Amino acid sequence: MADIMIVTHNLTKQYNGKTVVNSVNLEIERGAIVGLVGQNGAGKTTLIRMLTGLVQPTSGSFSLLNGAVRRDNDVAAIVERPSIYTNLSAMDNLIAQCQLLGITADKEYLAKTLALVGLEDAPKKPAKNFSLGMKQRLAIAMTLVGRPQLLLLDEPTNGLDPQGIFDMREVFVNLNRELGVTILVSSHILSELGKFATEFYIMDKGKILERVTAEQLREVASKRVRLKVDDVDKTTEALKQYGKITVTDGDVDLYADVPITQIMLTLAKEGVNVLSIQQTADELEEYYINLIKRERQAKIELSKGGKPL
Amino acid sequence: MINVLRLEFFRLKKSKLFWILLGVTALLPVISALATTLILSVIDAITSSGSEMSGALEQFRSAVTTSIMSSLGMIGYGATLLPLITASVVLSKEFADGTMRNAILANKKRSELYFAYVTVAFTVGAAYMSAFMMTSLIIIAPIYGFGDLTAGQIVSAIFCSLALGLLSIAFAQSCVCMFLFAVRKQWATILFPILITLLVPDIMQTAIILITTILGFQGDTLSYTAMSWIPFYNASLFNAGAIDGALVGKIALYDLLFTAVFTVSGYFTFEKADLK
Repeated sequence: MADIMIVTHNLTKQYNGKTVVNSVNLEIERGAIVGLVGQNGAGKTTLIRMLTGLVQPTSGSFSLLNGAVRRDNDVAAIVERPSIYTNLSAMDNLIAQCQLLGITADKEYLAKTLALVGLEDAPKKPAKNFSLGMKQRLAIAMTLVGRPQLLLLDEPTNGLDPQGIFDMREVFVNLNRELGVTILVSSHILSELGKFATEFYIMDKGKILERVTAEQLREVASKRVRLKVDDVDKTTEALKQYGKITVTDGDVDLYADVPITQIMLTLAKEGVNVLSIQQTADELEEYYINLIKRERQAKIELSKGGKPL
Repeated sequence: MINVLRLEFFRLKKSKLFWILLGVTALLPVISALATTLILSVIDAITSSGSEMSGALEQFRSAVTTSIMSSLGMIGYGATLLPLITASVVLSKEFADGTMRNAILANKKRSELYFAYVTVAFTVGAAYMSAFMMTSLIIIAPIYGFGDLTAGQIVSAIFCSLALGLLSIAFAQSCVCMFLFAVRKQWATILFPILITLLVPDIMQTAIILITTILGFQGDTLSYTAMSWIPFYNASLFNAGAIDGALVGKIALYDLLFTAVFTVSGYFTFEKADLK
């Protein structure tokens, strides 16, 4: 039986009658790095807040760590902004976290933890003088201090420079590989998330639209070719022999493992001028945008047909 | 709860505000005594210079002295206000910085958090009150003496003052905790308990005067005894030579009652609240 670290059953949150998270069902296995994808207001933060216990669900339930008895340091999280004691130094922040978790504040271990997030030069500097990026690094160090089994991260790279983003990605991946830490991470920087998450839940308007693994994503993306042409109808007709075709805003997407030269030859025979042709570069971003477009298109069509949404 | 207490006491130990205001509280009796002595000697020097004092001058001297003594009596409020400020600033910073979330994430129950904070707030109050009393007894009392009180009266006065002072502070700190957890805003946690501490006794007294005047009550309705149920009104004993055990007990009971009501009422809003 799989070791499930997070499971939710119809988890719902409403604020003043407005549904922010709508019957969400997640199932995340131990050792996974799961990306929670969605635009601002999609419900990602509220979902993570519910999992952390900060926000009470309106209905539904969830269970962490396969229902096992939870120790103080088993779950750690960063939710939106860094939760650090601004009047204390970086080292004192880690000591404070150790006090809270009931673990020994070994200075050597804490110095290593600071080094892990690139704060080895600022152990005694008051956190109030830190830049946003440094505060975020310190917050990450505080989550790591207890060596958690489960990390819940809401926009953890907010405020970090490109090097910082790269460094944090390395930290998360190493934690996952070496210590088997399960990570649920939300971000709107999809290109970044796509580089290290092994699975994705795509959210829109409080609902989970789709669950897709990184493998499935790569498979779909590598088989997709996007074309801009002067005659969409002729193109659709000519290419349908190769596989599924969708048309979005005048762009023709062909889901098939066909060489580009063969597509060009087929279209040339039909007299279609190809304005541009490309294989998807950013799998997750493309996938997400298309999924959202399709969902919204479907809703519009449903509403035009007079059917209930 | 032990771990939350360890964390909060660690934060307190590292807080400059805690140590500075503790020092100021300890110095309050000294400041009060020095100011009293200085002002009295200045008034004496002005009003009794040269010739015999006239009746009008004597009246003026008496009025000024009473007014100044009354103002200096407010210094005693500092022993209640300063721990209130310390607790509200230090504890509400947890909400301002968002670090309260760390404790929730560390699997601490909200009741554990709440009562750990209440314990810290009461401890801060007790530390400040003890510092205030220690200075009063060690530095001030030997210099100024206890007037014509007997040894027994002195011991009673000390214990009663300490007990009532601690109860007053406990009530003030329960206000801090109530606003801290009910409103969860730093400014409200600092401002409202101060306003209550400063204004409520006088507001209540005025209200009672108005009501009794309108209803035409006579006698000792407005006496010190009648006000025994108002927290802070009896934070100290005005007449140490006439300590009435029953009255002190009554004041203590009312203080405890108000403290319990404030402490418990803060919890219910926090128990199910969504935290930022």
